[in-house]
Amino acid sequence: MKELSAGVVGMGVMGMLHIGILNSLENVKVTAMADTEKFVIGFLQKSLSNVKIYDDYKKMLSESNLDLLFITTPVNSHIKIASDCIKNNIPFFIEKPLGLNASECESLCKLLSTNNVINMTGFYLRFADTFCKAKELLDDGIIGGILKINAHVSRPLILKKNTGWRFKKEISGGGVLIDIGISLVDLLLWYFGNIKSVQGTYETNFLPEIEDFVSAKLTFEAGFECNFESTWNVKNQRLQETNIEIVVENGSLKVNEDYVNLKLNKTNDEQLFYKPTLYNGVSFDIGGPMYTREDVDFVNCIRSGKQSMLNALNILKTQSVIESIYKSCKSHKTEQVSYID
Amino acid sequence: MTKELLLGDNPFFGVDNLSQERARKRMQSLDGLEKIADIMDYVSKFGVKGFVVSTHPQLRELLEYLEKNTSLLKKFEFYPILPYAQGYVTLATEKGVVKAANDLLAAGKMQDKVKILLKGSIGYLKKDVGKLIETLIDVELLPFKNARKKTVFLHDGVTDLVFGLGMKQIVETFFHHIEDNYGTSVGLVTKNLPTIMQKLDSWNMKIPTIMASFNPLGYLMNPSREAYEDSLGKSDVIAMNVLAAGYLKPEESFEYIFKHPIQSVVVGMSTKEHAEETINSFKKFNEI
Repeated sequence: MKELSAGVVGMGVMGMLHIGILNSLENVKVTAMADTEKFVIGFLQKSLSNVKIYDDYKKMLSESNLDLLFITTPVNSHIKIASDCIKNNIPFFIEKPLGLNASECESLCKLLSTNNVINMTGFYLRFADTFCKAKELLDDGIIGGILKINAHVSRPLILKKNTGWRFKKEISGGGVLIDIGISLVDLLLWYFGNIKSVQGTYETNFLPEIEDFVSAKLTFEAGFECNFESTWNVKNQRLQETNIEIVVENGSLKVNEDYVNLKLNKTNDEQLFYKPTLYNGVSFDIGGPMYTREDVDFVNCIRSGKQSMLNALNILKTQSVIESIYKSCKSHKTEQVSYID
Repeated sequence: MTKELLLGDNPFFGVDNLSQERARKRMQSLDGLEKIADIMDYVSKFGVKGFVVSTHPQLRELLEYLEKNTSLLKKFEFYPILPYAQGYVTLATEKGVVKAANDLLAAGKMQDKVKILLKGSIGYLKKDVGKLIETLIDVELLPFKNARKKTVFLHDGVTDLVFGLGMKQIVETFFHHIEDNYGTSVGLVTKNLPTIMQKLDSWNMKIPTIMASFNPLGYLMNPSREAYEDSLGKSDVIAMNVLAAGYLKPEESFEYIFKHPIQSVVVGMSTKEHAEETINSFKKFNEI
């Protein structure tokens, strides 16, 4: 099996995490890294041997003969770097979100229509045991017709006014909705299909352009509605919590990072699947097995020449829903979600 | 083979690997250092004398309380796990790696800063990776200055990342700094025990005490439970997550643990009832 040469641009938390995982995979080696921060470059040069460290990702792309690139930079550079990958015919992985907004993502999709290199956006919840189990139960048709969905995600991330790139809309694309709410929207689309219209409101606590709380009513093409909430200002919580409760005619299905709970009224049957019972080991775990699984999935796509399910064209749908929620928050009206074919 | 039972701190600080909901409930019911001291006192009467603690923000408060109000600081040997990785990740995610490093070095009480200034300015430290790491270790261990430390561990979030990145220098710095300056042994916490052992071997480094998950379900044992079992016997091992985050009953977990050459077992015990059940089950297999 050919050894794949991997590059990573953006050496923050997620960049480091993916490098560690990629290096652990069979016949994959991270050979080049790029960042613009002098301290980070100096640290990497002193700590790592046999890896070329660049301060310019374009130079890395032209010199390093890469088989794949991980893009883990702030959001405003994602599309630019991905476009350069397409021009250089290099498969790329982008840590979510795909881009600042739907129109930017659309431009990337147009470029991909001329050269459809393998690409993937990192929505790690799709690789988490409990959320995969819930998808399996939904696909098996165990639960009946859906009446209503409640979905919320919270994370104790922003507890005071800060100055990082997340607080500059031109770099981040927005606040909590595009940062963590987008993963929940992606799960909802994966589980239930297209969203037809949205009606949202938001609150800001620290900066006017960066929302800290978003609440929205999502109406699916299948007819049912979802109450959606996303916040990153919570205290007394250690980790991100993502909850989806599906109320059906004959019971309910609840899923979060810890468990899946299926209740069927008719048979008075309750099935509880806790994370430890669903656990499957991975080759190397840094920060959770779902990150290893998504990296393995991307590498497998490259090896098999098969496009990823989380490719830009599919993720454009997720970004379109996010854009429509933002639009609705400003217009105070219900907005139709327009998907681009 | 007799084994030692150690007290774990997770339930005291809202960490629950099975359920975040349950973690919050426990935090609410354990509001107070007095209650933690109470549990420590209770388990110490049954012979539990080791306390595995992460360098959580509330830890300094707990250790100060124990020192002022109890004799427990003298009764227990501590197994600090550092750094407080969740805090580092949140800070780095919020502010970026560089600003996070600045904040970490500038944080803490005045005496921490004096110690940092003795080693050099923050600007100087950022140019010298080894000194930077040593200083971060010193800052994290300051709350333990009056506590007996048995083994100082590197948190799995950092261990696994550093080994994945292949940063041997950081591992060496950690080992040398702890052994040379604190006179205690070092350890690694990991979710990838077999791979870490192989890597240490390939780096010609000694295998220190390893703290890793061991449970009959194979939960948090990568790549597999079988690979973990095959790796035993090469160093001292402290088993954690033995109850698979509370999913398993102590008896069925200990039955599995006692079949393997594992030296110690750490269990978080949040109530006297839970402590009693755990200790009684443990006693069936071992004399504490």
